[in-house]
Amino acid sequence: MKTGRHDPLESNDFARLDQFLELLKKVPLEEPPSAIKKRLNELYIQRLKKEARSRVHVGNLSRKLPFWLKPAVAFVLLIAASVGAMLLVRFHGRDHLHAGVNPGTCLSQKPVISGVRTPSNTTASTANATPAASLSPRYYSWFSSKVRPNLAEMTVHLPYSDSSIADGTSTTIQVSMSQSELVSLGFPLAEPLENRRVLAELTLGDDGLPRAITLPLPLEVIQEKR
Amino acid sequence: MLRFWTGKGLHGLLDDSSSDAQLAERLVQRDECAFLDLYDRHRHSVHRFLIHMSGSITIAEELTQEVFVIVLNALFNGKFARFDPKKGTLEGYLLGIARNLARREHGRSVRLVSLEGILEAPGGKGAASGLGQDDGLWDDLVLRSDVRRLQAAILELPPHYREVVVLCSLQERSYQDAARILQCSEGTIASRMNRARALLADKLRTSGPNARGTSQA
Repeated sequence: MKTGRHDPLESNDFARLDQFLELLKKVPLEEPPSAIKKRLNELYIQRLKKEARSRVHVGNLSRKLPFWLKPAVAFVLLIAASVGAMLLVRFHGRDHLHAGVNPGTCLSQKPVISGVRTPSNTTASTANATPAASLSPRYYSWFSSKVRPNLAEMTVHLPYSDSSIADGTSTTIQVSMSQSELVSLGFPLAEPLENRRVLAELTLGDDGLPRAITLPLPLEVIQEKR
Repeated sequence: MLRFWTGKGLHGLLDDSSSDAQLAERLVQRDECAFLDLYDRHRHSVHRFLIHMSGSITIAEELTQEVFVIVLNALFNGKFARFDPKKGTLEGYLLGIARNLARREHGRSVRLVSLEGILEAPGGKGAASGLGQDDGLWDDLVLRSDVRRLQAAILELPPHYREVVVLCSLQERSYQDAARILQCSEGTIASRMNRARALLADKLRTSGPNARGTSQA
């Protein structure tokens, strides 16, 4: 075997190497000091105690209460969580109602509907009707909890419309109605305000009579001028 | 052949495997004496390996402690559960950690290597006293000089050659064990061993009192 610029290694070189390796193997080396063993043992015991303490702590939390009280505590916690969630949803919905009021966009003070007979005096303006959107939970909280509206459509069919006429109800006009009127027609508004009007869509039949009133979502609330 | 490489024989290997499994189980079960048993059983092997790898007793002592602290941490953070006695021995596991620490220490290369500490260890257990009693052919001074030259040559080897020499020649590990500890194939171990032996033989020849390499070149 060639190693650089030296002569090839001979078997004597390897024999000498093996001899020296054997001698080095026999060298009695010092043991690691006993202080290491002591430190490691202390560290191990310390970690064992720490682990045991953490286990005991977790165990104590569940053992402090009598077993018969645990279901009661769980029930009370569940009720409290439910009440909290309901209050949160309710206040959140009320905040949204106030944020949606736009007093500067009043359409008219006196309701006039040209060429259409309506059950109440409402302001009318011809506009393209938009289909009612599905009601999201934050709008739902604005309505009374006693009467649940049709969440998919938010439409109230008028009681005196002829239900036998099923077709031809394609004419829709936009009107603004006071909240009290909407409540009287069956819309379940929770806290109607007198000086607020809501934009609604009036659906007319072929006979010219109003068939239904639909509240487009999200609700558009305007302030009534006095 | 197996006995030649392991120094224990097949029965010893099986005994180690079963006792390793028991000891590992005791460690996982948080037996108070298990960790000390682990230390007592393997401290010598780990310490010796680190002495030959670092060339310093002081560094070897620090690293030996660090090896067992790492095992301790692994024990309490759940990583020790990955140790499988069927795939390797606890000694191999510890030597693997020691090898990584020795490499890290070698990478720092800021510490001074003290060969004197190895050969003239306190308490009269130096190389000269031990060797002189075993072999009457060698004078103490010659022995000390030769062994010191060999140690210097081993420390000058690249780490991947040094690991193989220390494990297979000085620690009497089989190629299979060394391959498992060093995470490479047995063929790689054999190749490194041959190359390391050639390098060591060449260094001994050129640095000895009867050096002829450079004079004849």
